Amino acid sequence: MVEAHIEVKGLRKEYGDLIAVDGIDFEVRKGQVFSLLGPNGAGKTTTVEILECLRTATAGDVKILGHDLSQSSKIKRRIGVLPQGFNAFDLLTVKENVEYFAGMFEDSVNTDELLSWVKLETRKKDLFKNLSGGMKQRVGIAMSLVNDPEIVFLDEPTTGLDPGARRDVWRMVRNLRERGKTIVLTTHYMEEAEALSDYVCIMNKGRIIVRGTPREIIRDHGGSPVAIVRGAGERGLQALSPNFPDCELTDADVKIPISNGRRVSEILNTLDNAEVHYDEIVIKKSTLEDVFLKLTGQEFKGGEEDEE
Amino acid sequence: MKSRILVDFKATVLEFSRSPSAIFWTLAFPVILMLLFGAIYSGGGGGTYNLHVQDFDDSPYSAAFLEGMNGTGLVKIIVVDNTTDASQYISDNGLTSFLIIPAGFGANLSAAENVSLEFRMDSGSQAALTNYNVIKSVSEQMNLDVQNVTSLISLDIAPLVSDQFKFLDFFLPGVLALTIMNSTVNYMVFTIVEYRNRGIFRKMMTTPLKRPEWLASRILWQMVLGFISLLLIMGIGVYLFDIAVTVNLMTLALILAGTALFTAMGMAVAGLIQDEQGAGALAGAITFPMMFLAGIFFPLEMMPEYLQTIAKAIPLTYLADGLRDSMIYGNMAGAWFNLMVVSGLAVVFAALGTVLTRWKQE
Repeated sequence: MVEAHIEVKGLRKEYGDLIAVDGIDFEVRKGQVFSLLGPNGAGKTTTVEILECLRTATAGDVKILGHDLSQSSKIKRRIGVLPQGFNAFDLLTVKENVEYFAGMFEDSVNTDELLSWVKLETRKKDLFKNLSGGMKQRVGIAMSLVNDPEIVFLDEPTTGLDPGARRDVWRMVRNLRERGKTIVLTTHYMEEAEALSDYVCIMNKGRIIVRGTPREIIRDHGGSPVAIVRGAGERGLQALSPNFPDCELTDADVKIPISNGRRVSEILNTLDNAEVHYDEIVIKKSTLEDVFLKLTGQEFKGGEEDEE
Repeated sequence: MKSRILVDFKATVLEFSRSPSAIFWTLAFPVILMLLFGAIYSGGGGGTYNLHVQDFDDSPYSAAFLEGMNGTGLVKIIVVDNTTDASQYISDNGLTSFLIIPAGFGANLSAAENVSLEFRMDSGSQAALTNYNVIKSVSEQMNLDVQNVTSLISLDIAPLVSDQFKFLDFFLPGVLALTIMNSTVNYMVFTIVEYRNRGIFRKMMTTPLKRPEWLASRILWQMVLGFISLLLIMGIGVYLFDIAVTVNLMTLALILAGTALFTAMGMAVAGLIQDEQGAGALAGAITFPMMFLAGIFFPLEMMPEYLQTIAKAIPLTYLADGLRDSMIYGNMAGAWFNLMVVSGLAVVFAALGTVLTRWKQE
């Protein structure tokens, strides 16, 4: 069994009457990409900010790299943090910003190498305020690595980024994982958690409602994949319903759950025999989003606002 | 080991050097003030004011008195005919000051009796103020020359400014105090609010940097700025307007204490108000009245009683007074008192600021 880098037991955080984190337990192993997934206000950021020694817990037992949270200066030396809604000094250049944070630690890595790694070597002399959102986020990731941390916390690293910039961040996360870093990621993007994580905890209203590898969670809670026959319409439904009684029509699409040994080829044959016209057939696997919907009965809503 | 204070200090200097508004308010603004007021109060063309006089005495004494005033080069005496009605003449010519030498002036002086001069002045006028100072100093001179006793000639008016000092002498330390206040309060308020709202403090908190280290660096930089302002303002005052200024340890101590005071005040304001605009407005609402009520642009003695009372409750008053005492008047006891007041206020506001600015979140 790989050693645990983070151990959390019975963690609670209350703000007056509001319970932001309602007694959660989890463990993050060395070298893992661990994700806290959930809608805004689920308590993800509160949880990681307690682990980052930015907030104090109301109750609970937390160990980071073997240290209690009271030993915050020891912890801070060994973790790297990209805070939610990250910003740096507008009037300093990329290089100056990274050097500033490198200067805060007794030991720091070579900042030029770091900037090459986040592909900002040509923008070193640009002022931070003149960068695009994606570049700013890359500066933030570089900053979170100046002390060569063992654990990297990335709090909503891709919120507000365009798809290209999001892919860049994903590539860096995977690369960090290959280099053996432990990564704690919070996100409200389901596909992000699914694509990157070794282990996911889905949070809602301060509690962890389900946990496991993305594959396990979907297998156990997500239901079967669905074949969608787009544009088949009423005729498609009539043709398919004798063999597939659980199929249903939404707009012009017919949806057929493919489980219990059913095969896609049967669907194709049925459609061909009845000479039904359709646009295409897609197989949609169940996602974490479906899991969330199923477990909470509420739509998963991500937004850009900070959670409190 | 690298010093985090120095790392932060270096970043502060770089940020400052790239912020035109910060440079304007801390460096250009006091220079502009000094140049502007210097040009106005050093008298401009020829540097003399006209002094209109009615001489009812018409004796060698009064003639010598007028000659003495002419001799200062600061005023040009214009004798008005005795038959003219003074009030009418003043309003016809739009005068701001008018001197009447009563009959018997010479006779009383020679008999060593008190005499009174009647001086009418518009106390808001710099020309009148200059005329008043000239009359005052020449009459003191006459006392010594004629009788070797003092206060025979009295002026029927309350003194406005210590007569041996020019307005600019008075003004220079005030500009320095004002600059320290403006630059420090605004800098602290805007930096703290910006860093807090943009999450920069949050990022800083994830590093070993401690709040006292951050504060130390920022205060250090404000002190450096205070000294740069001192050099700039003094340079202009001494070389352009010939102001006699001395800088001593007391001056430096006052600059340090003043910077600490206004840093703390800025922290308190930033802690009180969360959003950027509100904090900016509150900073303005605090610094602006202080600027006018602390006796920077005109002496406190010119203000009505109740405003003088308010002035005594204003921290900037003590910094300005202290700097004036140490730099111009050479009044070390006064400077010491003001230094104590400023330091005491700094401690009070530092406590308030620490309570109000939460660096660590709940």
